[in-house]
Amino acid sequence: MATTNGDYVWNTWTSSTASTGDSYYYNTADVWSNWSSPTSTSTIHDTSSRGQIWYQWSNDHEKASKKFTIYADSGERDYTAVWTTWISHEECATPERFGAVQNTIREQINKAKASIPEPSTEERRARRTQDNLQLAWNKVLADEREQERKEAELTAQDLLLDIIGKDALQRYKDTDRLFVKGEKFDYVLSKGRGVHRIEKDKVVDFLEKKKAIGQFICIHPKQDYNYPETDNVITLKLWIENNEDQFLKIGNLHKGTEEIANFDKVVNG
Amino acid sequence: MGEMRIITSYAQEEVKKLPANMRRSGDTKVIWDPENDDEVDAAEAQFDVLIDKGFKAYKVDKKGDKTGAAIKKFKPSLSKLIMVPALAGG
Repeated sequence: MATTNGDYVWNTWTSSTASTGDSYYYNTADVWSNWSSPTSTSTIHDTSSRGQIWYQWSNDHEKASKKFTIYADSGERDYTAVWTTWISHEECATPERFGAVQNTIREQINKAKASIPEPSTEERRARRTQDNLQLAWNKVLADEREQERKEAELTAQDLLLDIIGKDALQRYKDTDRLFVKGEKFDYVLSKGRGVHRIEKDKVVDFLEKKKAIGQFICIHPKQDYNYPETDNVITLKLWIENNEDQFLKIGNLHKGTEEIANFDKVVNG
Repeated sequence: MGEMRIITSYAQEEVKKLPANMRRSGDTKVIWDPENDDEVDAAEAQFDVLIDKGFKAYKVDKKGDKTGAAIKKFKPSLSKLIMVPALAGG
């Protein structure tokens, strides 16, 4: 390899094949891998003057471009400024060159786009009509899904009514929260998602102040969150009342405490 | 008559497999006559599939009040059950 044909060496070495066809004098197929290994500060494929070439090149560009000599299979040559050549020659794939390559590709894409003929008026109208139909159909589907969700939520509230009775359901509807008594702790379940755990002995104190402080537990039905909000509340309530230890083990207790809004109303209506 | 209310997500595979008249928006309702073996077998099969999936079953009385701990074995004489999905930490 000489400086004159070293233009492609960088490209070759940084390719996946990672060996240069421009052979060095000593087993040069491995030069790149040795030079780029984490421990490498020099090439072990070393002739007398190639010691620490990589290290010097990558750490002392000024020095590297002037002082080092590489021996090639065609004989000893002076490779002064090899590094400079590699990083400055327009065909060398240095990072600085990638931008130029990208620009070239972008130009080619734009050229290809420009070669596509403009659609006719009829085609544009047809496409617009198709888009409008698609939008209308999407809206029908979205409305259906929304209606289904509303019906599912009402069904879930009917089931909750079966479990907690009319008065408690009204409190739940008013506050979007349900107060549940466990054996170890008390809980405030928020409609949809969110559980606050309250220390039992602290509830009394905070009740006097018409508020409570709770720790947030992150827990939800497995598989997905795609349940009617009140079904989520029912699930958590039944788990707390029947499997509180397991419930506490599964849930992730978040650090810190926070005030629970409308606590008095949630409990007492 | 026995009644099993199954809390299911919209996309639950078990729900999709149910006949259309057993699917509802929201929870799924399965009803059986304790004297009808076919209905009892179908309800029990559904119960077992969900328990295997990690669902919990809770007995409630006719008014809906909770009356006991989780049920692990289906009994045709049960009047009302609510089945809820397993939980995961967030």
